[in-house]
Amino acid sequence: MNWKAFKSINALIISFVLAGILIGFLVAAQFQSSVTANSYIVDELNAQKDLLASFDEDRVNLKNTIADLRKKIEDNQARLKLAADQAKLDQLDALKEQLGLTTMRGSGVRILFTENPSGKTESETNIIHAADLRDLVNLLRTARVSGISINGQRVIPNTTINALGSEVLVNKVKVVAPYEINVIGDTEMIASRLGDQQSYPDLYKRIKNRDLGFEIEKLNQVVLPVYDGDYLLKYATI
Amino acid sequence: MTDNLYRSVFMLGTGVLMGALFSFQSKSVSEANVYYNRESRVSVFKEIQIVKKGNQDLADQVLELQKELTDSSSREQALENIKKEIDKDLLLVGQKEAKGPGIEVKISGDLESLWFTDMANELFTAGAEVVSINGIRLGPDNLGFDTMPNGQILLGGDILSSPFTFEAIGDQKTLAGALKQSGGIISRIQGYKPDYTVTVAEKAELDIPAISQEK
Repeated sequence: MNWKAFKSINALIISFVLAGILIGFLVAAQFQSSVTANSYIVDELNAQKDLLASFDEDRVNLKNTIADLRKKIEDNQARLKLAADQAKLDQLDALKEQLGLTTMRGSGVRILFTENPSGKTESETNIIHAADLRDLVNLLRTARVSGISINGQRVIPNTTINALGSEVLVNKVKVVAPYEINVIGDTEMIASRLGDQQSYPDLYKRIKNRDLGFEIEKLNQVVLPVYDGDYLLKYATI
Repeated sequence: MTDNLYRSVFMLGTGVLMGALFSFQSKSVSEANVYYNRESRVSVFKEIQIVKKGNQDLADQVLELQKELTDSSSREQALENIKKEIDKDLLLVGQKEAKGPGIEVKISGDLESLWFTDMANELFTAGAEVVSINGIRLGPDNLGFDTMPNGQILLGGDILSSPFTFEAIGDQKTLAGALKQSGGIISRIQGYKPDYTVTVAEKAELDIPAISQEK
């Protein structure tokens, strides 16, 4: 073997070794990515689902009880209407409306927000995250809407939208995609705010790329349900 | 000549493979940053506690309403309850000044609107009853954080400028603990803006003004 051939083979070996190291590093890095599912995460998710299932039934019962009690109290207040200061009852009704404690009807829009409408391989971009719903609600609030609901959950001033593992909780209640978001408000203003691509460029990009589906329908009559959760004040006083 | 051709093709293939892997990894990491950094990476057990506390709050609400229902059978007591309910609702909608213990969070630099949405969400999740930002109370007509063309944040007609001070009435320990926990919003803001100063102080008494009625 001459010197030239020896040098050429060595260069090739070194190239392959370096390439192998790099590939090995990349493969290892890929497997170490926090996004990758592993058995610990699966166990965690299963434990979480079991516990949540046990809370779900309690929550439904409690919410039904709250709705029933509020109705009975309202009936009692209505019976006292003649004796009570009518102005006070009207004020109370107006406040309840602001707090989402009454059914709200009016013109507005219905948004259908869906995951992966093109049927691509599931990825982080074609899942609707809790943060996406928070951003959308924030955008609608800047349009000064009168009321919003997400899959039957009335959005109130203190509404929380959180991720719980792979699930989304609105008002601490589990909701799943597709999301039907009903909004009462000025439809022109809502359309204008939703059309502002600068507000949430990442969300728009995903909708434009058909990673997420987003359909808006203007409606003359939208009905928002009563907020059936708690309104406790344990710390704040006047 | 043939050896050289095979070698070149092989090296090219290796390069393509490496490029593809690098691109895949880079995309994966960047997606993780964009989507996962918006959520608190708290332990699942901590999250379960949040749901459990939600049910406890519902149970407490049931007790409160049961007492109100019992009282409402008496006319005088019912009228008194209506007055109490109006006061409570006025506080909830932000038309009355609110006092109580809580926390004060100060952030030194400019932030995008999504951080305000997320901070308010974290505070309400941890049980905040009343929240204000730079003295502007959050309420039914004062909730949307809008970004102006110059990057300033608009909240219900008021411009918010840094430094930002969030005040929240609620259980001091729970509120501070939720924000400061590993993977919580404070660490996410500091991860995003390492040069910012974020402080959380527990306050025995906060005084949050009502929403201005002039809007």
